[in-house]
Amino acid sequence: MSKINLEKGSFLPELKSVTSVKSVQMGAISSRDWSPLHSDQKWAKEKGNLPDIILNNYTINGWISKYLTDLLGPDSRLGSIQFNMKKPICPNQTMVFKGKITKKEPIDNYRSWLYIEVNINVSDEIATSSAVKIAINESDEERYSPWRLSSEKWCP
Amino acid sequence: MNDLPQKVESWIGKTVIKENNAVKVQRGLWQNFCAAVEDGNPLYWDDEKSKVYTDGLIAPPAMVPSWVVHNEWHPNKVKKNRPMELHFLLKEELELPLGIVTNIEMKFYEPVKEGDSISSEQKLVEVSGKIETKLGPGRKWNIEVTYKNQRNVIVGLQNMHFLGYKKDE
Repeated sequence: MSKINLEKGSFLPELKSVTSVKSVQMGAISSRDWSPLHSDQKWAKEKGNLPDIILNNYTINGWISKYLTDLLGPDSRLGSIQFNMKKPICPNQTMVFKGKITKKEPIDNYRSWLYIEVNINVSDEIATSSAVKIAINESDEERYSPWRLSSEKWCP
Repeated sequence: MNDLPQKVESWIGKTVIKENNAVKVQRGLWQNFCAAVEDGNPLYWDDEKSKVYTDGLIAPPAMVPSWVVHNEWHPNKVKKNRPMELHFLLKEELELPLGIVTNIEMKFYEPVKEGDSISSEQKLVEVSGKIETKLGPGRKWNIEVTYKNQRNVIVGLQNMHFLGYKKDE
């Protein structure tokens, strides 16, 4: 169980990561997104009218998931994620992940849903905003992990 | 008065595209993705630790849609659908050559495991009337995708909102 404050209104510790050409390309190719917007710098600039290749949506989803499960542990279980890509994220930019718990509600006596706003900031502007619903184990017992909920009780 | 082409009108509320078995789920593929986003969650990497929660390794949830994307080359040279084929069909039918994703929502259900074969169904939820945007004249549409494993159990639901547009003439 995480030792960070998981009550409504709490802010989560920030995470910083610098993108590179290789990491943007690797995210796209490994998520099976073949669009040249994410892998071909010449194409992205000349035909995509973009400053450079951009992080694809599956990779953004993967980064947000990593940010939260690194903090909450493997016992936490992602229920849903909704996100808006407001500005493209390109190579050689510093992504700053910021999270705030906006709501907490019980699933049962042992588990809770956390509703978390996660923003990815680049150059002090929000590049991606997201709303995540993630289940946590409030007990010390592994048998109450959200992963052990039956499919009937798992309602993301 | 509805100004949609009849073909598009007939798609609303229906599953238009089905995909299946583009690629079998494999740990080597998902661990490449985890490396790209620096995700060391033991559920994706550690056989022993993952047994505690998920009875073995699972694939990262963010990759659910990836498992129905075909390779661009195949030895049988069979033409395959493009990723999110319905979006491309709409762009063609509505004569809006450019399109962007404006909002994405994903819900995650049964975890995806090694050896699974994922299928998907793309349903057109709605299409707006003609609108003027900063990018040019266009329309908005909303596609819902259901992902299931080989046992017909839902592993994910995706709701994608798009803007299709063309450059101002």
